Amino acid sequence: MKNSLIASGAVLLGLNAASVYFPQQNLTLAAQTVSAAIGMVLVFLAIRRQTPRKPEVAATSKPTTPPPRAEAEIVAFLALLQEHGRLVDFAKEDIAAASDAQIGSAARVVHAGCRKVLDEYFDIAPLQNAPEGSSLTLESGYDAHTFRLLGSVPEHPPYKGKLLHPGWIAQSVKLPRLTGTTETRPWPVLAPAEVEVSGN
Amino acid sequence: MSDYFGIDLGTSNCAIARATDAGLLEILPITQVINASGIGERPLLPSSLYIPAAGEFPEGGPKLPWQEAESHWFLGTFARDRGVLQPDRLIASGKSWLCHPHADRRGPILPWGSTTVGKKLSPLEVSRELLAHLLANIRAASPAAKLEHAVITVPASFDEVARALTLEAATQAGLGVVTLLEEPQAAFYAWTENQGAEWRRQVKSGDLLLVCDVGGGTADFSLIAVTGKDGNLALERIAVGEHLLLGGDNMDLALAHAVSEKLIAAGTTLDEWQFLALVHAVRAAKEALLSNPSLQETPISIPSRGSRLIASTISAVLTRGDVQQIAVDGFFPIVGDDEMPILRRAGGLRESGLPYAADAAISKHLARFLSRAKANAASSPQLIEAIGGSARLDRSPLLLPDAVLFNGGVFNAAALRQRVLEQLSQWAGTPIRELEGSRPDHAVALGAAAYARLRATGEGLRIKSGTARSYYIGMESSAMAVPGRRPATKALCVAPQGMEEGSRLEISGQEFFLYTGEASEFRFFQSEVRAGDQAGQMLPDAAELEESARLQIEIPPPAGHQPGEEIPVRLEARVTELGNLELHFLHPASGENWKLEFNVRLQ
Repeated sequence: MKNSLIASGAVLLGLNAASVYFPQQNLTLAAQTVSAAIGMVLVFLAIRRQTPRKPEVAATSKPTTPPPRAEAEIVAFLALLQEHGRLVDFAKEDIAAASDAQIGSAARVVHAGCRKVLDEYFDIAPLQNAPEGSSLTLESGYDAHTFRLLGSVPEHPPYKGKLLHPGWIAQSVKLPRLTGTTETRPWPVLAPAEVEVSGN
Repeated sequence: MSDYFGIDLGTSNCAIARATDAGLLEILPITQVINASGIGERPLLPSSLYIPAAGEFPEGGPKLPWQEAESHWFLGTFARDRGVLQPDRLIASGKSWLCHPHADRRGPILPWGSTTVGKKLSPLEVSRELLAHLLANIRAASPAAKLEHAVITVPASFDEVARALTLEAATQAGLGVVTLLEEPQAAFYAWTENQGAEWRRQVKSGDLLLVCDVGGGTADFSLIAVTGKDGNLALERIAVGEHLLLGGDNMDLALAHAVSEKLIAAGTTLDEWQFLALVHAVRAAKEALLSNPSLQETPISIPSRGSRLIASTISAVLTRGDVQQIAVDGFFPIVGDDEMPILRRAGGLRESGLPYAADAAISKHLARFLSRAKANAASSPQLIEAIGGSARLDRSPLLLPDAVLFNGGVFNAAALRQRVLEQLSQWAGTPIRELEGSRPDHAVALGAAAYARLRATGEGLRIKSGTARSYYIGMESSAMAVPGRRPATKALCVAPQGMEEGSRLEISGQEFFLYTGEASEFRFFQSEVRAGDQAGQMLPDAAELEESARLQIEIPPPAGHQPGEEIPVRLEARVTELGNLELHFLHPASGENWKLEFNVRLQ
């Protein structure tokens, strides 16, 4: 399950990365930016699941609040994407009547902000260094977790094929650690309501 | 095995580096509050302090691992980001206030001009808080570290008062005894460390090196002379610049105004929040254009703060022409060697606040620095020798270097480094080279750690650098009274330029009298351009110097003396091992010794 999550997340991210650098394709830019967002969240989910759980607090130690739940951390990560990349605003807005130019302009905000979050909190590298379209052979014993095979796949390796997407891997994750343990909500808000104060 | 720490207490960002006996030199990530709900590590700690409103964090807000009590303020990334939205609660340039001669640096004056913050902080406290935060990180990374090894960097342009205050802040923060190092020198140490033995091939005896450091908010220049013979190089810092509040942030603001004006001309007016977003976007666009010569323009998107991102994002464009005209030609115009910066805005009144540079042309400030450095060198036979003889003085009205080491985020852009070299080469009439392999972003902290190790182990080449200025004390002249004329204040040179750490100088052959038991005023002066003055030399008129501080104080008479009596004293200047300048009034008969530190406190 988690490997497919990583892979699908990676593919969605990759799709976006490709599209953003080809502005002439901005007809589909919006859809792809959204796909990037989903991709990020999926990658994130999968990574969280792989991290070993902390040992339970011994019953004799003084009672503390329970460790922040995974959901709270995921919401906090989504809040980062919203804060820097306006991702929730972007996905939630009705784009049916918007022109491509408008969407493209907004996508720059999303791109710059989400990229900043990715660069700051992850060390992301391609899984394969070979260029897309190059031929490769997977010998028996290849790391099946880092490849997804498409087309007519024989029962046993070696597999000869063409690299469609080099894949991505997060080599390190350094997300902010939640500290608000006395929150009245199970998880943080995605974006606080903003009020411009004019006096009192 | 020991760890040595270097702390870059920057105007915009702080950094910590660690050096080890094993030859390691690295930046330490700094744990800090990242946003309203979490903490994390970043290589830099923004030097921002945010004071929340009383009800802003009913549960106390994010807490750092070492923190026990609730904090009254936040530091770092969260402070910077939150402070943008509430500028009245943000202290963003505490360090610039620390060296502001007309500000009360121990008084609760920050955030400057804030009408909403209940309990303000002093510039000294802001530095103390930043250092305490960095110390907590050092302790976490290296619990057994001996902190006498720590080196804190200050701008070369910091005067003795600002240096002494920095030391005081470090003591208050719990860092104990630390050493100060000038930032341009730190950048130089980082460069030699980075180059290994290779750096000696890039310089030779007789060279004069300019360290040109332009960061986010400040510009700092120093000249280092390379001397020595038979392959034994020696380095001496021979000139430092004035404190200049001018840097990359000014460029971003200027570009944002230009884009905003184009939008206004097209019928779109930005609100205050959109303008802030524009400044951010313009910074990234400027960097893209400066780093990619084939790019002709960069589209910019300016979001509003409302939730409708697509409907209300405004599109604009930053062109290569804008960047060339504003960032390159505006801040680094090619000027003649006699074009000096405008120093004061016209008009008799200036708004209180930080003394930002009035002229944005960094080239002109550089011309002023090099012209003052020439005047300074010309006044001292030792300096003339250090720069390889007077021939260099005859060539130009400026003291021109042979090579330049760049530092500061602005010089990540090759185009701007090129521009400075072009300017210097034009002044010199011969190509001026760049010292290659600089690391503009983290060099200061890395260099400070390398210097901390060098001090402790004694291995490596140290830059000889005494006091950067000469110091004077005002003297009431004993001239006959003339109606309608106030006698000029004379100035006695108490500490000549170039006094080294751990040295003391007695002013011999003269007797001075100290008024005791009644309030008297001491006036202190300094100069960056009078290297030739010797201790004990009396200048007829202090007006040609820069007044650095005044002190009103009543000195109690020593035992057996009446208030109002004049006490004969000897004067002695000392530069402590830490680089702190002190003036001692010694009264041999009673054994009294009044110490006047240059942060101007009598003990």
